[in-house]
Amino acid sequence: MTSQEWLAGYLEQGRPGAQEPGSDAPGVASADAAQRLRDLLADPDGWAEPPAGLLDQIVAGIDRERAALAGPPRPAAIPGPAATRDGRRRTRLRRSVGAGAAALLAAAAVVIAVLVTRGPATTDVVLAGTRLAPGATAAAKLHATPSGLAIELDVSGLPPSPPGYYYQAWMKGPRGLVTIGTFHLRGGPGAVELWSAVSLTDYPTITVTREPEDGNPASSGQVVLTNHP
Amino acid sequence: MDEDGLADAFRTGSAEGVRAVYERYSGPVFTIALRVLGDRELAADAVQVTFLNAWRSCGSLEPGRPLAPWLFTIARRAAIDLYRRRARGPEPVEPQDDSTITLPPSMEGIWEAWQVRIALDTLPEEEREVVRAQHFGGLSHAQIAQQLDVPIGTVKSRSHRAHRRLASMLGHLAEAAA
Repeated sequence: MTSQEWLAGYLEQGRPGAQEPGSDAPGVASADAAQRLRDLLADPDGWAEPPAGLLDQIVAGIDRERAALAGPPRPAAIPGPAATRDGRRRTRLRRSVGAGAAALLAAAAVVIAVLVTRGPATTDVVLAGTRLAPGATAAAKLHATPSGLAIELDVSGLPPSPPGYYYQAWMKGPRGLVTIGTFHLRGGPGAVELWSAVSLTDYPTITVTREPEDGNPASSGQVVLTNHP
Repeated sequence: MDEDGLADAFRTGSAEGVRAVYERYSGPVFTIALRVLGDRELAADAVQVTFLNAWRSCGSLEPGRPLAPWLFTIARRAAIDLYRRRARGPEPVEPQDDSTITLPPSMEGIWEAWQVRIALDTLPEEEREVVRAQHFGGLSHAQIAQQLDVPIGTVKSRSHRAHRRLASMLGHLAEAAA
């Protein structure tokens, strides 16, 4: 009996039913390996199929990235309140947000972009939509003040929260999770003002979650936007 | 499409090439992502990241280089990255129980799972369903025959052929351990 015939028998029938190996049969180590392979044949992971629709998401991500690589990002990708401000600042914001959007698209919503745009006191952070809100993006402008960190979050592509739900923004770091405000967007997309008593250095992850009005102050874990996907 | 054709199609970065590679390898990628992450949603994320990263890196896939090990490397890295990210701080934040912390499977374990999945996906469908019913379903040949409404002899011959194919495709894994 060849090693291959022995292995076929082992895989099919297992140790008790496997034919006795001949003189050229594998040793104990191979029998252990054969048993491992047999275990893998019964492992549910080995038969699992990825969820339907995943291929479409991948192809859409590639299409977005291809489009981003083909040309400059459209300023409208992440609209913000800067549209009403002076042209110089608007251009600068669009440039930084646009660059962030390009990076965002380039990584298919798996990219962080942190750009200093107005000196060391202000930082722009781009947030990407998660699978719960794949079309959503946001640009956060963080400005240090004597009272704390003022955060202007320009959100697009995120639907208004339905009745009974709201959005909650968080900053997270090694020391834990700090909420920085709640909002609903029922007046349409646009800027949301948030405040934080903790710094981006210590709490580098910014997320937005969808929360039910259930009285539970803990995060639901339903992250819709994040800068660390 | 053979392996070389698949690699060529993928290397062009075309949607057709991506679809073809996904059809062939999404199962194995999902399998190892599940083994690493133990969570279907995270594993689906890992599959998505894998194919996007692979598409971005398709220029580095040299002609003649086999696609499967290259994709395995990308998939394993994507899953491990997600594993580490989750270990650093998943949402929601809950008290961490040290007794529940587990290490990701070994490289060898992930590689074996990948190879086995590819071998299973290579089987003809009628043989694959018998192997699935036998190993995953825990059914006897007689029960499989009843389930598939075919003679038991047909089940036995399909099973025999399937396991010979599997042994042929996976024999090197048993030999490597000897």
